[in-house]
Amino acid sequence: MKPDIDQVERRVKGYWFQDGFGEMAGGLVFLVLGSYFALSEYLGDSFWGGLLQAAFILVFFALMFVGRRLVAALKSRFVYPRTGFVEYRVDEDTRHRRKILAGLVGALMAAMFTLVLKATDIEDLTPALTGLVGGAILVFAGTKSSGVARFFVLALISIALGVALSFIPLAMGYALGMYYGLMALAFFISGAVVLSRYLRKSPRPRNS
Amino acid sequence: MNKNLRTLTGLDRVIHEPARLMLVMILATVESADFLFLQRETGLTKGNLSAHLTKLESAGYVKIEKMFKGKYPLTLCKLTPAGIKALDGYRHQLDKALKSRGRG
Repeated sequence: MKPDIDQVERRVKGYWFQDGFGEMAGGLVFLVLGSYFALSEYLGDSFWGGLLQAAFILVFFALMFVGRRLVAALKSRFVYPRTGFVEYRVDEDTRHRRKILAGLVGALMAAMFTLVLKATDIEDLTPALTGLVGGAILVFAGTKSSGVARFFVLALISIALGVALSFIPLAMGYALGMYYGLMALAFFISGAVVLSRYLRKSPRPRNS
Repeated sequence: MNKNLRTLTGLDRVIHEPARLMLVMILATVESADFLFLQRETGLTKGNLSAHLTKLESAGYVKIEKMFKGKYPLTLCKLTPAGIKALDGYRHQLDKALKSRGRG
């Protein structure tokens, strides 16, 4: 036994990702984002388009809330009886720091997109930028979650998709809709493969 | 004998045992973990794990609670502040002793 606490910590952190439910929930969020961008483009400045934009933030936060509940319920049903339950330590300071960081990253991304679009007047770059930012976030998530290798693959897919979609002559809303839709598919596939491998490797103990 | 090296004799023997050290180290990285998770991570048998957890609980280093998460019954283990302090102290003592190696 090597008393390396960092290694133990990495293993325990990686445990949250070993069933694929998190990725499938992420796929659901991407699917909604993709539908939003495509529908916004389709509806344009009409009454329904305005309504969709107004309601989107509410729908998005509701989805995040439901997604978290759903993942918890699925883990409770399939994961805890097989490989056990872990509650991760998140102190209040870290929670606040994360919220502030998420807000700052969001604001920075919005500002960056606006500036680039205004300065260059080329909307075509938006999918590429989205892919790059998405890729960077996935690399960060992969590093934080003890180097779960599939996050790096998803990051590459994000960048490749973003760049490829920039070369296809599509309206920005459709291009973004396609990016998020295809990323949702990648997340669902990745999650499903991981889940099936997990279920095969970890049968339910007989006495549970 | 070097004074720092002599601290080895004062190491906390509850934590010094490899299986218990492994348990304390896992619990130090999380808020709490259940029996099944600890069993899978350590590779100990149920009886062995139970005995080690009981020792840690008796020393006041681990708190054990039985509860339900949905329909799933859990035996939840959590490192107490005394357990965290004991692990820190153990690491500090061991570091000191190992660093003094070769200094005579």
